[in-house]
Formats: sequence, structure tokens, C-alpha cells
Amino acid sequence: MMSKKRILTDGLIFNNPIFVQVLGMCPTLAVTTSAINGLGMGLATTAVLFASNTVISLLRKLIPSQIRIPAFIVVIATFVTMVEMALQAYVPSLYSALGLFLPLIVVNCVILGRAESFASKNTVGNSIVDGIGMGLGFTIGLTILGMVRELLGAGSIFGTQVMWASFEPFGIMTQAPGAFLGLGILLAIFGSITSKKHNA
Amino acid sequence: MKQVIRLGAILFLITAVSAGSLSLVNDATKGVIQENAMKANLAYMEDMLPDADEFTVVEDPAVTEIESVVEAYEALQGGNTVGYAVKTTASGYGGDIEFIVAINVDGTLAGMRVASHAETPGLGARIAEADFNSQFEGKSTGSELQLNTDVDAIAGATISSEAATNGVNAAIRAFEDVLK
Amino acid sequence: MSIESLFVILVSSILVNNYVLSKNLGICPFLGVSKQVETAFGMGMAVTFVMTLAGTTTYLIQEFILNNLGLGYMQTVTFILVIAALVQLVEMVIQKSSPTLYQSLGVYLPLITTNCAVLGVALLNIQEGYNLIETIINSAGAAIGFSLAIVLFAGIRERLELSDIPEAFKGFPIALFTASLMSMAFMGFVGLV
Repeated sequence: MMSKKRILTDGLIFNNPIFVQVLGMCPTLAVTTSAINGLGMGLATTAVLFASNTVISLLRKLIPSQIRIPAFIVVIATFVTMVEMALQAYVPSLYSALGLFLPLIVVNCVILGRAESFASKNTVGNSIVDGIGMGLGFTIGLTILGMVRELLGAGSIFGTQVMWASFEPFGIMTQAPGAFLGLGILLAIFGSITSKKHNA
Repeated sequence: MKQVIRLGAILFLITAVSAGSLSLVNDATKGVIQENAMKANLAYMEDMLPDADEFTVVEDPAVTEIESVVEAYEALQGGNTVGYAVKTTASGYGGDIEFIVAINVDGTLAGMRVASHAETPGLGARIAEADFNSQFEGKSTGSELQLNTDVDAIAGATISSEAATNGVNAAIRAFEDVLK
Repeated sequence: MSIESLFVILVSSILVNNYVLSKNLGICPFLGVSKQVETAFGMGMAVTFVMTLAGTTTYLIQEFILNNLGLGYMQTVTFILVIAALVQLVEMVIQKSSPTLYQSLGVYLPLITTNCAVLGVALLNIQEGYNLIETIINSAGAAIGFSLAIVLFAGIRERLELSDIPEAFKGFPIALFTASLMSMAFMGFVGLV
């Protein structure tokens, strides 16, 4: 059985949901128009992952296999709605920035994937670590992509202008094509780094 | 058959627990959410109509029947009307945008603020900046505003700028047709 | 609600606001099922069926059940359950009527449940305040747009298979660059309606 440390680093690096598994693409592309949006979405998803992994692991012996997918979905959707309501009440700026993609967390393949492949088969303790690891790995990926797109597309990072005054931003980066482009570049870089490690 | 009923019952139970807990969280957060909405709007309204000491909701249903108008508030100073604040929506690049448009009682625009939006940061989102929305101050409500003629658009954000103009025009319509 | 406005909604959801290339929805199947035109086409058809049905059903549930009982906060939970049930139904129908299609779609068929474009269009119908007819048109249009994007993408990827690509870019990176160019092309439709 994997150690807790191994589970954590799995989610953060070796089995990173974005760079390795290439899952949860919809929010990855749509919400990373700025670093803070990417970070916010990542943390919201991590919160749901933590909650759903915990509950599903707790209930894993009680849910019959034939209805496990709908059952997981109800649990996940419930926590997503709770996060939605909490953000709407206490962080309204993030709530309106994430918009439609907040309820769409429920169809984030990362969450259902972890529920099916890990939380339903492991202890609560391990599932919690897995949820946090995958969630943070997802968050790191979103934040990096958000930073790249914001830097190139608006010349700022987390809202503060960092590029030189005469820098003409590549506006396309903060729009749909820039999402595909940015992720493609990051995947290419990540892929070549990890393959060098393999061949070395 | 019994198997199906048993499975259905378990699923129903899970959903019922879900509904119950959501209902609790909903009740807990509903108040805060409504308060937030009012607080944000109030700050903008006070900023644009500093003479007013009181804002009351305009009850006349004819106001909300105007397309794109959400709500209107009357700004009072010592009981006398000094202006109006109209909440409008318009379709932007990234979805609906909510505006608060303040109009002085003499028919000049006191200002425009963006209450909420999902526009592209660095581009359409700049309609919320003073550089753009200060253009609306002082304009007359005699006629609806035209983009590029009365108001300069943000370079590369025509749709967002157009939406802002539409939002202001809806408020102008509300003022001219009902509130005046 | 004239024929004209319905046409605007249709063109808007297929081209101007294409769910994949403009709204960045439905990306997982877009990247996953687009290696061959035939499978992509089959997926597109299945999604069109599910999306149109799902959009309509969720609209009716929102109007007649959720709104009347003040259960607005159950929207996410109810919608996704409806979608999951519909996908099960479509799975059974396809399995009976076309076993070959069932085979070639494989695991991607149940994955339509997690296609964010399906839940996305259901939520957007309510957000935009569409009535029943507008909801049906928008749902169908979104699905047609998705199918269009995925088939076009598959056509390009089939050719890419035969090209010489640097090691680091093989697979997802080059696919994403292609999608980026397609997305830019579709931006040309903005302002059409």
C-alpha cells in the first residue's frame, strides 16, 4: 500500500491531473484567463475533492456497486452546490469571475475519476491525502497556466503590471485560442522535461 | 424487482440527505448573499450621487417592465428627489453584465458603474475602469447614446463597450419613460 | 420570439459562440474522441441526441418543479442526475440498434455524462431565460456546433498522424496548437449576427 507521502506527490507531480492525466480540461482552458481566477478555481475544486473523497470513502462499504456512479454524482454535486453558495456569500468577486464553471466542477473528470478509482477503494485517511494531493496538483497547473496567459495577454501577474511599459500584450492569450495555445506549450515543456528524466 | 427497489431506495436516501443539507446551507447563506448585493450597489450609488442621504426602491412596476432594467432606486436628500439609480443588464462578451447608472433629476447622467461582469481581463473588463465609464458623466438623457459617436469604445473590446452603452441606454429609457 | 430570433440563436450556438472553440466546453471528448472522423461523427450524433433531450428535460424540470417548489439550489444535483439517466438510456438504445457504433464509442459513451458542454448548455438555457422553443433550438445548435468542431478536428488530426512531428509535440501539444488555430478561425464569426 502506498505511503501517504507517495499519495501526495502522486497527485502533485507524477500523476498530475492536468499535465499527466490530461483531465479536467474544460475549467483548465476556460477559467485560466488570469492567475487569480486559476488559483480560485483550483482551490474551489480542491475543497470539493477533499469533501467528496472523504464522504465517498466513508460510505464505500455501504453503496451498492450498481448505483455507485449516480451516488458519487449526488455527493459531488451536493458539495459543489455548497461551495457555490459559500463563495456567493463570502467571496462574491470570485463567484462572478468563475461564473458558469463553478457548477461545472461537478463534471470535472478529476473528481469523479478519483472517487471511482481511489476513494471507493481506500481508507478515509488515504482518500483525504489523495483528494488534497490531486486538488493541489490541479491548482498548481491552473495557476501556472493562468499566470502565463495573464502575463502574455495583459502584461500583469495577479493584477500587478510587471511587463515594461511599451509591451504590447498578446490579447489573444486571454481568449479561447490562447487557452489551447498556452496549455499546448505547457504540456510540450512538461513532456520534454519528464522524458529527459526517463532517458537520463 | 426487489433488488431494483432496494437500489432505488438507497439512491433516494442519499439524494434526500443531499437535499436536506443543501437546504440548510442555503438558509444560512441566503441572508448574507442578499446583503452583499445591496451593499455593493449602495456603495456605487452613494459614490455617484453624493448629495443623497437616502435611497428607496421605486415600486412602480412599469420600471421593471422595460427590457434590460432590473431595478430602480430613488435618491432623496431631505425628502426631495435629487436623482435616480437604475440597475440594468446587457449581454457582453463573456455573459451578462450588470450596470448601475445614476441620473441626476435634471436629466444629466451622474455616472455608470459595473456591478458584475465576466469580461476578458485586460480587455472588456476595462469597462469597469474610470477611464471608460467616466465618459458617461454629464451626458444628457435626451437621446440614447451611440458607441463611437457619443462614447469611445475600448480598443479590442467592441462587444463589451457596446454592452456598456446598451446598459446605459436602458437606464436612459427608464428615466425618460417612467421615472421623470 | 420570431423565426428571426430563433435563427440568431441557432447560428450563434453553432458558429459565433461555438461551445468547444469559443466557450471552451466539451474539451475532454473533443481531445479524446477526435482521432478518427468516423468515431468523431458517431460521438457527435450521440451527443446531439443527449444534449437536445437533456436541455429540454432540464428546462421542463426547472420550470415546473424546481421553481414552483422553491428548490432552486437543487439545480446542479437534479440536472446532473437527469443527464446521467439520459446517457444510460442512450447507451441502451445504441447497444440494441447499432452494436458496431456501441463498440467503437467504447468508454466514451458513458463519459458523455461528464461532458461539460451538456451540463453547460442546460445551465445556460436557464441563465439566458429562454422559453421552451428557444431552449430546444439552443440545445440542438450547441450540439451541432460541438459535432462540427469535433469532426473538423478529427479530419485534421488524421492528416497529422502522417506528418513528421518533433518528439516533444507529439500527441496532445500538437493537437492543442491545432485547436488553437481552429479557435482563432472561428473568432472570425464574431459579429455575424
